[in-house]
Amino acid sequence: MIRFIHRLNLILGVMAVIAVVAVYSQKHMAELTAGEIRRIESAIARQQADLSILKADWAYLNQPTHVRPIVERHNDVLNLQVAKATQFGSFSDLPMRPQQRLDTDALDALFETIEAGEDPIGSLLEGLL
Amino acid sequence: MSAVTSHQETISIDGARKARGNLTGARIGWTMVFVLLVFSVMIGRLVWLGNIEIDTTIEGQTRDAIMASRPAILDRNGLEMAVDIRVPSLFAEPRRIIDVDEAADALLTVLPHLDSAWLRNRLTGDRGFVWIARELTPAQQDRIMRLGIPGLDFVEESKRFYPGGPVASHVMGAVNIDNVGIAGVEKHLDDDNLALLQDLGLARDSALTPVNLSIDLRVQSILHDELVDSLERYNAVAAGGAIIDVRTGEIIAMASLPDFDPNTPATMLQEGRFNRITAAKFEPGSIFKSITFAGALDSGAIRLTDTIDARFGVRFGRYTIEDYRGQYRVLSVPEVYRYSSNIGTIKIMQAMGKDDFRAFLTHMGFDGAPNIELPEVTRSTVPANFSEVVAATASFGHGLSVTPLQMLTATAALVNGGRLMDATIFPRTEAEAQGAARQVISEQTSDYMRYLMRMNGVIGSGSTGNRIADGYRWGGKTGTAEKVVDGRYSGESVTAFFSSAFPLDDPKYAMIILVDEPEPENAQSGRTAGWNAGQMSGRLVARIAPLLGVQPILGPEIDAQLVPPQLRGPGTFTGF
Repeated sequence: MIRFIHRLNLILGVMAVIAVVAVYSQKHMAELTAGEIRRIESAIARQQADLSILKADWAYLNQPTHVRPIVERHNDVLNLQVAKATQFGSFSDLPMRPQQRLDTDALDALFETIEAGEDPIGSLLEGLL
Repeated sequence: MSAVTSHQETISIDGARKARGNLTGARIGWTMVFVLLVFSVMIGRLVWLGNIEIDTTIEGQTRDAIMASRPAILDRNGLEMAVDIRVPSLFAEPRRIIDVDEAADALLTVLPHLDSAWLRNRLTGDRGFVWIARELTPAQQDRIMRLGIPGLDFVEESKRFYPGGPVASHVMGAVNIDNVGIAGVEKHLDDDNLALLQDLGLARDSALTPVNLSIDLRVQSILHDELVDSLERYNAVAAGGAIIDVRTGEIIAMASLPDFDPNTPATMLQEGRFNRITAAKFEPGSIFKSITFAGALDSGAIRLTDTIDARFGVRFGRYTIEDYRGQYRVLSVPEVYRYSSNIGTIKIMQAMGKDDFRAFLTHMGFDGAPNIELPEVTRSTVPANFSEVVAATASFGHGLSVTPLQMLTATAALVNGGRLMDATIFPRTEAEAQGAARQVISEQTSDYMRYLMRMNGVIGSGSTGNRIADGYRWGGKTGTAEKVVDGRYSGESVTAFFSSAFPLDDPKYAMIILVDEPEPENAQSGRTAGWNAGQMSGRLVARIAPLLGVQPILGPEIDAQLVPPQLRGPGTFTGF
């Protein structure tokens, strides 16, 4: 019986030491992680600050009030003007496509002569040479 | 040995087990005392910790409120009109500062605008937190960090930035240094529910959804540009303008000059920088004749085919009301509008009856303050009861003062089929607007008004502007209201108005332009509204109509369709 209690004490003692070491290392790791979180959070905050300034910059550059002076400054080259009412049109204003009159008889005759072995263009060219 | 040895002490010998038991009992007692001690120390420490109040306030304000951000404000197309930027603010903990003089001198090298004595005083003492400089640049932050002074640190604050500067100043309003809205839509957002969110500490970072406005930033910037141009061109003291979508009541653009830069809110407080569209009232002058005409035509008191005797001035006691450049002949109803005859308009009002006319003004929303989300509004001044002479002057827009916004919403109702709706600076669908709208005049009266406005635009006082905006079927009514100077109406000092709408065959937008105390542009031009407010409106329409998707149609056919059937026929005056 006593031997058993001694053993139990020994085991409990060892377990206590192990538990202390484990808890300590856990705490240490938690602190490390917390530090990491703080670092990342501050990095996020910094990046958000940068981002907010970039966004503001983008918004500023996109403002009509910002773009117009630039356009006016380069208007010698760009020559941009307010569109006049007469410059707008619609599809219904476009005239219909003019009727194309294909001389099908003449084409048929041409193909027939080529098929017959005579080449009127070729003979024209030969005549020139 | 005697047998009487009873006085001897009894020897009592404890057994080994009992002795150990007593020892254990004592040990347990001591252990318990020790454990109790330890626990009482721990409990005491817990109570102590629990009683410590952590100071989360920064000079009387919660840290959350200072860090709180505001939602971005976008125009109807998603362009940013106001954004938050995170900026560093410098604070000091005086109780941790070792050498005040050294710290102050070092700081002054980076922030030379600070007062040396003030800074020293600020850094001395035992306080835990004092602001030194707020809303610095990242470059300044870097340089202060590099000084390496203990007891100085930064917090990230949200700062409001308006990328457009003054372009929409009166709509946007401004915020103070603690990011609380003090004017315009910023104040409206705070009054609404943003302040609650910020108090709860919920309004942090980018969690807030952006707020869309009904303003179209492109149109807004063109309106602003034209107003700046008109101030210069007519040497006016002030100018203002607003454009409304007549189908939904959304304000597309609103500007008033002189204005301020919301990025430096202090400029807002300078003299005369108020919003002239909502927070100022004017005698509207002849643009009010549109209202008189609509009322009389809608009540059936007059018809478009009637004729009005405008040969003689209208006498009230010692006064006679005459026409400006009068015709002094019998005029048809459209001609009264076209020549802006005061005499004719009084007769038309009298046909309707002064009490009916007064009731119609209430009906059209001219009483009280205009309904809009902006906090800067003022109440109109319309006499509660009209006497004969007050009714007569009111019929052509004198003797009463209304805000330009009320005139704008009324004009929108005149052309959109007679539905009066409150103006809004937030997006609204047509269905929502129709639900809240009130039918104030009939569709037919609205058709008549569109014809009259277009006719006046083509051949009447709007003709100079209409030549500029040709093709966009634009028209309206001019008004040149003489200002009261030293108790008398002055011919020199006037406010010029132009209330108009386009395209009048299918109205989409109505607008009002005012130019306060204009001077003639050159020797050939005049002081009346057609020359300044009218031409400016024309230039504006020519620039914004293509942006707003209004297709130009040239040629007289579309105007001819606007003429009411009863006026079609040979010999009648139609204007086209």
